[in-house]
Amino acid sequence: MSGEEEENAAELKIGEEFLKAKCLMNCEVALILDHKYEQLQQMSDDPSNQISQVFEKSLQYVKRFSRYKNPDAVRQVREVLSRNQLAEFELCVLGNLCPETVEEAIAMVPSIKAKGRSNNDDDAIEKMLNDLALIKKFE
Amino acid sequence: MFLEIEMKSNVVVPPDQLYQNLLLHRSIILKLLEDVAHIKATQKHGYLVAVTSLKERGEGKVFLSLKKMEDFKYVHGENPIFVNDKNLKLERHGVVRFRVLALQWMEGQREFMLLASLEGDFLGPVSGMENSGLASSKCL
Repeated sequence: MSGEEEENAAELKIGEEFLKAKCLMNCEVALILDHKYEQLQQMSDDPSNQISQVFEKSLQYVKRFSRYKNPDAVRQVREVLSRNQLAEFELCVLGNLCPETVEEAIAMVPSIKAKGRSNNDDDAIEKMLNDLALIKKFE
Repeated sequence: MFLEIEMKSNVVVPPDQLYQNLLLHRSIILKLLEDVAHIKATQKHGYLVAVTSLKERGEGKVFLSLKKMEDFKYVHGENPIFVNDKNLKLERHGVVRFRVLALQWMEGQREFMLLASLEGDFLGPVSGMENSGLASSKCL
């Protein structure tokens, strides 16, 4: 695939399309697809027409790999992560993987500690992770 | 990674579906969903999972938001067989954690072929892990 040599997710060199696009966390996708599934069942006489293998497998995947299930919790997670000047891509990786410590977070998403990002010092990251843990606790 | 992106598409609604107002709207949506399911994937964006919302602009023109995913259909492993020295089995319908090495678009089947590796910590067959954040980390 062309351009792959220049891309490096760890440095957030991920191609314009990824940087610009709205990324969705697995838990958000799960809510959307669940809702879509209900809609399709109501709207169509033969819902199996619109429910492709891709849809079904995606739904299975995101349900399995969602940390948060409750819609309010999901919304709060997005809010907490959004307060930290993260790129969409970084936000979703953190929301999907739920690191427990600052070290884990940096290991998973090295770009959050890149040079020139003085806003994201360790304290800020730790606060963010603690907030996420609280949301999970009270879900 | 799932993305929500806007895509433009022309939808052909057959004449017997050309009702008025709400019914037409419904026909368009249903046809669109059919088309999307049929397209299945594009080389540029990966697999098309679902339509999230429809933005209608002007007469007969529809803009849509789609969600996409880079995913896989078919896997070649480095050790395509099934038992290793720790007696872990790779079998059909089993669950395997692997690392993506490369993707290839297959125009004919409109699918991606995936080259994966089982060499690495925590890779290989897994047994019944629910809600494991780790399991998804290698699939990005």
